[in-house]
Amino acid sequence: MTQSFPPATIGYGFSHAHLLGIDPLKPGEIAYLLDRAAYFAELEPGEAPDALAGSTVINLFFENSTRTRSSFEIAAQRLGADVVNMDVATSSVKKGETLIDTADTLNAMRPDFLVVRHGQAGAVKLLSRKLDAHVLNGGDGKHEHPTQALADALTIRRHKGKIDGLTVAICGDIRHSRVARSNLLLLQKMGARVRLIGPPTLLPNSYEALGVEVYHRMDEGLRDVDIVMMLRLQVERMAGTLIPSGREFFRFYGLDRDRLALAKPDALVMHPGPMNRGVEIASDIADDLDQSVIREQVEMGVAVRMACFEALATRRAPTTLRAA
Amino acid sequence: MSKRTLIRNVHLFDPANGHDGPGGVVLYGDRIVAVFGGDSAIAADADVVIDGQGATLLPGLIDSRVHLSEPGLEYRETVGETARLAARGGISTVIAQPSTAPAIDRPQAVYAVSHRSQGGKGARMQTLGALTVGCEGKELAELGLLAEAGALGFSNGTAPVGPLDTISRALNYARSTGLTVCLGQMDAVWGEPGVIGGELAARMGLGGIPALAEVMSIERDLRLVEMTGVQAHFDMVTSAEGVNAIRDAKARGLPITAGTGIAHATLTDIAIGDYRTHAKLHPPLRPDRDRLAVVQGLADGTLDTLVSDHRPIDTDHKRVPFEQAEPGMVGLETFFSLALSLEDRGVSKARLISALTSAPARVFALESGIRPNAPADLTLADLDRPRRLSEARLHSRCRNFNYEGIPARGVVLKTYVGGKLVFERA
Repeated sequence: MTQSFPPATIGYGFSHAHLLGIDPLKPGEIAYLLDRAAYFAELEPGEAPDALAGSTVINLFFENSTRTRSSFEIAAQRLGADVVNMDVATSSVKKGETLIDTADTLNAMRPDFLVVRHGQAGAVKLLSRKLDAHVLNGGDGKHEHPTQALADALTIRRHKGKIDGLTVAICGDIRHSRVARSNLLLLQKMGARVRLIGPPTLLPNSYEALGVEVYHRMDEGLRDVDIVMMLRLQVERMAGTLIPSGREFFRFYGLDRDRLALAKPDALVMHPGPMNRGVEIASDIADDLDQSVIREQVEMGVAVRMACFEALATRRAPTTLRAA
Repeated sequence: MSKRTLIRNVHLFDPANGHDGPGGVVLYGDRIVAVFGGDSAIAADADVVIDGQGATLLPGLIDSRVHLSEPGLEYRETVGETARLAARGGISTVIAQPSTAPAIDRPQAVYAVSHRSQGGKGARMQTLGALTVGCEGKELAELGLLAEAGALGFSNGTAPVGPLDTISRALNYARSTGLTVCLGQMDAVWGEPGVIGGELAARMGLGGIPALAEVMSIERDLRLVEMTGVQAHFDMVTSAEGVNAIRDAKARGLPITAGTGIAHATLTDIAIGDYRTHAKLHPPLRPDRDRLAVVQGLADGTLDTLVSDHRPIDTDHKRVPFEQAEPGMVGLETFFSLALSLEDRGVSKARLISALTSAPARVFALESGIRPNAPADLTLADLDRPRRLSEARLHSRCRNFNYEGIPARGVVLKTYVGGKLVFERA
């Protein structure tokens, strides 16, 4: 008799030096991070272990961010770390310093963790090669945003009890979305079926090579899904080029009551924020506490970031089977 | 007073002149004056006798697509250094692209290239002229004056030629010079450079250039060639569809020639891996089916020429995020060995050597070949001696290299340019 285990039992633990993306992670490593995050999510803020006591975390954001940076900051502080926010807009980067020189400079300050957001794909990886600190990817260009995907996965797991076997639709501007890329990688690794929905200009057919189903019509793609994940559309950058207008986008790709009715009755609505009400999502759905878990995604964001910091600090070796 | 030099005990290999066997040559001044088979006693009246010890003597290699860093970026490589690196790689003639800064769009700039390489310490440095001023695709460059100054042909560098009316006027006018125009550069306005659209681009979160970009440019340019009757050379065909378009055009009887780069015949986009900027090239590396089509194109003669597409880039412009990195790789020193490796992939030795010698000579109307009265441009090489390619063994100042640790064969022993020994392996 062979006994089959869910994919999450393979390589349970976490031994990476950096968290650069979902791509390098094994299902067991993702499951480990989610389990720890689930534990942190249940704690009162004062109860968290001071796993990062005496450590220094530098938040290095080359792109503007309020929510992600705050979330990393709060997560690190709950674990007892000292957090420094580097305001890149006023730093030497604006004076022409290269990324590598910035890395050298920061390295000399001996931080223990560096959280980086950068506008170009692969830039965080490049930094990680030059630094002694643990590097966490807070979003690199259109490449990956691993902690957002982990927060989304934890939110799904809390409501559905599992990820394996679910059907998830990710809708909107897939092409420019690091959130979509990290999510589709994570969800597939954990056994979910992923559908991508968007207009051809924002969803190239080449994504089929990543093992997902590509839909260009919302009504077909949403049918019987367990999760509807909406993405932010940068209307101001796209109107007239990649899409004709915001209102046309909402007409064909916006999430309203009629469209949501095509999904399973207990389907969850998610959005990584910030939302454009009336462009990709109708206001009443965003605020519907029965189906929308958008606020919970933010809350889980802090928990998974705590889990990531802790995992990097302790580097628990993987085991082959999860302890009962 | 010139000396007579005898090179004996070599294997002559020059398919265009029907040589494939033991023999030797006699050089006098800058010319070959005699070619003989076997090992006869012509030695008697030579001043200098060189024993080739059975190595292979080839017509000097011609690399018809090299990017100069001078003027503009001398810190990467001067013209003199390019000439010496080429000689080290067995290349006797370099044909440079005009896209320097400023571009080679005036006759003085053509003179400057040969002037800067003087000293006889390296390959013969030739250049193409810019088709449009500054390679910007707007105004016609002084094509007639460039030709008079010695430009071997025209190109717009890596930039597409510009709007249709500009390109058709430029080609129409270029016809009057009788020189070849290099065409088929894909439109850079499509997508982000450096990576081909498709699975890899989707994985890496990069826009990627659509695979169609190259073949659409080639097909457009083929129509313009048909319309204007200009002599055209599609020098960097790197996709399966591009090779097919060239094959069809040749079958239609269009008098065009074509070529490809060594990287696109030996590497795929796998080399880009995790944002390796050294493998960021222009045109971008492609999936294996394109590489196979390119090799097949070389094997069946659809692609006439093979080039190094040498482009030195310093670390500061490669050790940056992928999107910021400049495309290009160095190639002069390893070009010959990598070209020979294609023999194991189905391209005959005769085809390969033609692609490096007689084919580019024909395209750019250069004298070449092992025959009496041809220029004494010769490459002596041991085609079978194994070597391991390594960055540590490069003499280039720039190290944007993609073949670390790759086993290869073919070692250049001597390079002659105009009868002068410009490189000798120690």
